[in-house]
Amino acid sequence: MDDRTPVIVDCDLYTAFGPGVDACWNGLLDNRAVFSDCSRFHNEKFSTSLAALAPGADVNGTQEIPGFFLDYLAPTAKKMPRDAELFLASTVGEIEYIDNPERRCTCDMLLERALKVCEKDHGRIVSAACSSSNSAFVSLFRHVRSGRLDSAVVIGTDYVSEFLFSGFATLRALARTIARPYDRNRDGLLLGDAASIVNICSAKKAAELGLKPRAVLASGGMSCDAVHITAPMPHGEALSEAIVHALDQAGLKPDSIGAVIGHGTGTRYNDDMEIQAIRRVFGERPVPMLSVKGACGHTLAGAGLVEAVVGVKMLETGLIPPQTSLVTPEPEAAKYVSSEIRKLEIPRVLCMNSGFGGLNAVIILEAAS
Amino acid sequence: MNRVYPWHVIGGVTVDGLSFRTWRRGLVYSGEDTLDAKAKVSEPQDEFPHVYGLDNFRRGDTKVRTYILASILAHRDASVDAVRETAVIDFGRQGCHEQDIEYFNDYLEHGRHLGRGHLFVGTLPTTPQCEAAISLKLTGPGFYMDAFDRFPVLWDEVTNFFEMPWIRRVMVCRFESGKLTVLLAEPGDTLEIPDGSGPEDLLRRIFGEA
Repeated sequence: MDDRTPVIVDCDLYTAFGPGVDACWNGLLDNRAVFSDCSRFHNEKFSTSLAALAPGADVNGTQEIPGFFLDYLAPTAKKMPRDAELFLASTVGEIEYIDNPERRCTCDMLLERALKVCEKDHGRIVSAACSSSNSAFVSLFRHVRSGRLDSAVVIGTDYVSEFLFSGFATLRALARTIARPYDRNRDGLLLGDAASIVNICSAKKAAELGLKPRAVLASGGMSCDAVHITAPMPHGEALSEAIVHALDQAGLKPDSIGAVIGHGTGTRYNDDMEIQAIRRVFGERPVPMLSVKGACGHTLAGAGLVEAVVGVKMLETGLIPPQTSLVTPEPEAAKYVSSEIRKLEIPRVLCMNSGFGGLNAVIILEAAS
Repeated sequence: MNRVYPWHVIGGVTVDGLSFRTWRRGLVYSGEDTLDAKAKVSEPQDEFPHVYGLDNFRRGDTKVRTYILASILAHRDASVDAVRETAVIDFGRQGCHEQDIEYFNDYLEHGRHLGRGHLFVGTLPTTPQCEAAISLKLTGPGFYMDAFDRFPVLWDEVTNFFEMPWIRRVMVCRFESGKLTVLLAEPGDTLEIPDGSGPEDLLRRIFGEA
């Protein structure tokens, strides 16, 4: 680790498991899925009513959820200096507009609010569909390595709104049963609420601030399929390129990765593509893999942040959570996924996301010691 | 304050409505509609023989189509073919408010049940740049960024992309008040940019009035 090594010094989560990292982590280790009937809007015409809803988030109405989440994340953000850059990973939807146009909450309004409650001077929105969080991490990784930034707060929030629910329904992407990433009988994704935060600074800045690194952001890579606006590249070539770029930049070989947190939405196309990409990079090696979306849903722009926080816990505990809701693995995924807790034998975790537009973003986390 | 960046601009285009003007070569195109503009812009010429994959041009809305045509013209202005290893960044303030409203209205008209998927996809601000990347086969990184018009953030991001060793070119997009500017940058040489300069200002400084 040198002075410009980007290190994660703090993180927090609010998911359908409830507030706090441990609530989510323990839920994953317990192999629990937290989907319930979503009554935030009329859902009887959709193929499912299930979603992973954060308890207590909408007591003041759905339009207050973003503010509720930001208020929850603010104390962690305030641990960083005022001049730390705030990265807001977002899909930039008008968060809830359908019935209340006068109460619009656009993403730039959300960023302004985030800057205020988190007490930061500057911020930016990074939007790359469902790979927004990891794209923010990759951008930040390079800025810290090059000395352009020495501290940042990365925030991602998304919640189950009628806008998002209806949109994924029109694309016929929602599961009719339950989200089962990498399972032979998977039939789609389920959406989830999440708010998450990761504080990152250079190793030098961490030492100056007296903050102990919890993990290292070791590398990142990005690519675009450039094939189709919604469907992924069938054989995962572009995703595997992003993985290879991330490995190359860190001077790592595939066998130095201990586990992969996949995007794993539970749709047939995404999971097939990911498995192809993993096989292309890792060959016949059965690198342990999981997706958290079978437990707490697809949290869209915030997905990469949730996975990064889970990755930090994996590095700190040396454990790999089981694949939630896995019954019969997809044959090609069988050697990678497990419904049992496994040991993390190598202290590096690769996290990957893919979004509409063919946008892929990959990060590598490594143990701080 | 001026800052110096380790890359240079090789060409660009500004689109106002259906009027396309390039900055380096001074090429001018216009169309009666986007399909007419497409026919003029994408027609292979002796000097520009590259044929782009525009089979799905009609699936995009006006904004998407404009991004695709502007991306082609930015390459033509720079007299270069598109290369895979091109990163794309769209730096804006507007997100996709018009597309959001279009999707919502369509969804409401269809009984809060049968909204149309392609309109939902259009509510992502990355859709126009990704459609351009698909048309030109640009497989480098891409995202949309809003930094309250702090332009040094944009130019630092271009530098960031060039620090990824596999990136050979960066395409910068900027949509503002119905006007789109696209520029192409390549590594090497240096470029001094005043802090307040956005893409159109930069092109004007380098190439003079379009």
